[in-house]
Amino acid sequence: MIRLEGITKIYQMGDSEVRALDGVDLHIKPHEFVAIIGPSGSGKSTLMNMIGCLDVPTSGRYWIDGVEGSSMSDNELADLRNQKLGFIFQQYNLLPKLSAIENVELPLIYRGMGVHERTKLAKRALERVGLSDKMHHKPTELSGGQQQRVSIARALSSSPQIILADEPTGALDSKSGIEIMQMLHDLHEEGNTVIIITHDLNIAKQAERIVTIKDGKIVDDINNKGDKEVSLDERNEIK
Amino acid sequence: MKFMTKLIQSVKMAMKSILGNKGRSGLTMLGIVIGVGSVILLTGIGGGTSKAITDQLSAMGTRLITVSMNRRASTRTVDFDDLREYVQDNQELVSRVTPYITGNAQAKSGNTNFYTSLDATDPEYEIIKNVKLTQGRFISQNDCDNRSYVAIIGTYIQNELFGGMNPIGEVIKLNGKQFKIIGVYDEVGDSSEASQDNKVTIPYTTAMRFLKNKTISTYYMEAASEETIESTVMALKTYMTRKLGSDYGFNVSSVSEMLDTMNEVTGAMTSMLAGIAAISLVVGGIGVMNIMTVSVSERTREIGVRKAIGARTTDILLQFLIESMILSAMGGIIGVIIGLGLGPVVEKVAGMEYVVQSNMVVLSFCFSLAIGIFFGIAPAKKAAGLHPIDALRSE
Repeated sequence: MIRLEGITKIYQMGDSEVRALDGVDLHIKPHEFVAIIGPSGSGKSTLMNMIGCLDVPTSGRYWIDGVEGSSMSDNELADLRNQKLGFIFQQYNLLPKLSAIENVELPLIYRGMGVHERTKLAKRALERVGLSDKMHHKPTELSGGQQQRVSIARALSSSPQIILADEPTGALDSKSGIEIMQMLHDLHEEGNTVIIITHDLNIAKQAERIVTIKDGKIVDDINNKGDKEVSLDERNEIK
Repeated sequence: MKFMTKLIQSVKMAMKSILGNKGRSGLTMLGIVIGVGSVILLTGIGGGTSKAITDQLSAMGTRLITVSMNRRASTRTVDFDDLREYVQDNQELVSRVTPYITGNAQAKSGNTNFYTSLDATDPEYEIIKNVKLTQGRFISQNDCDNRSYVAIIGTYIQNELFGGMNPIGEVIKLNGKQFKIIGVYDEVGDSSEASQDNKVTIPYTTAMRFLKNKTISTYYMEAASEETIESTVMALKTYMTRKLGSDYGFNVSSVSEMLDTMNEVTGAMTSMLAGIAAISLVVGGIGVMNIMTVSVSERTREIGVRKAIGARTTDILLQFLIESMILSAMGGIIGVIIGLGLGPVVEKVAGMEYVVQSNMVVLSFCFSLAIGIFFGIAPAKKAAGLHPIDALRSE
């Protein structure tokens, strides 16, 4: 699904070079639920940007769903993000002037989808996150948890294979955080590849696999399937 | 199909963003509104002035040729008889000629007295200048032959001396001499003292004696046709030069020639006004660029989000370009409405004629659109060129 080989990212900070990522190799298989954990400044955000095709590495190669991203143009990367990736951000990043449904429709608009089809898909996505009654509310009229649910719906609307969540619960109270995590679990059960970036070990523990990053290098990569065995079986049945 | 869907979406998004910030959008548009409005207004005034002049000149008759002589010219002269002979011999060029003398006189009747402008001519003048009378008749050949003391008066004099009553057969004293009134001119101005309605016309033969003016310095001629008027003027110039032995000391001009000159002058004036107004349009465009640049900076995060979820560079470019285009187009439309709406106001308040130049309406509107594109490109490129990461990180 996702393969990174020798990814290095160097930022130029004045005179000094900062190696945000230093030769990272990572392979994420389809339907995995991976948590990438590390302290701030460890390079986990940079790693997420690489996986999300938001940034290009200084050196190294990477493949998303079999296509090599390192040789792609900006527009090809935009299309790749649009079709294969769904982003969930810590700060929700909803467009404040658009209503919930308009926000959810946005990726479909960039895909060039017609009005009827995309309204249908957007409605379905909002139903999934339990917000059909708040469709025409502006983000400012929604609570943090509801906003994050809208942003999940936005990520879902284009049915991407990979859900990429950057500190999805970071700005939420614990109750909303649990709800959001439950939704991510559900998505995983349904066959999506879910990748969570976090610095919170309690969140990371909920994943099947925990990748720890420090100083731009992967220092630990553990299997955490333990109490998730049941759901794994379910998943295999679906397969 | 896909492109159309995206285009419609871009327009919707642009409208949303414009309407979502009405105050700022209005102020941004203002420059364009003023620019387009003033182009239409100024060219309308220019067109009106040009029309007013054209109408006035055309009313004089488009076949009218004026021959005027400078008195201090050589001893050789061209007199009325010469020109009459010329007309007789050149009927294919000119059909009529009439002498014209102007001066001033003190008019008096009873206790009222005032100065009036006096002119003198012969019966042909009535035809050449298309004179209109409300009462009585014009000067006859008999009046000229007999040097009769008869006069045609304007409406100002009719009102002033005879209280608007029929003055035919009444007597008016001009410089102490009694003249019998035989006709009244149609009103051409507003019947005030300073208008063209304060005038008196008498037979030219009478005037030459009465004003002690032995020479006639102006003649009006009527060209045989409007089409050949230029060659007629040329032929007359040649004739005059031969008769006078020099090509100065006289002037031959036609109304159509004057019309051409006037049209050139008013045309140049109108273009100049339009040019000045166009500068304000350009300044308005810079205003659009300013606001769009600010808007791009403010919406950096939005741009980042859009890019993250799959907006291509061209999508962002199109979004901002369309936004600036719609801003200018809306400004242009409002400007057109204001420009057209102010026309009647100008006519009422300033008493000027106002003729909307429809080509200028179209041109200024298109120009405002072009400005929207031109000044929108830089900010839109800036937006489109933002890196998704940097854009997302911005606060």
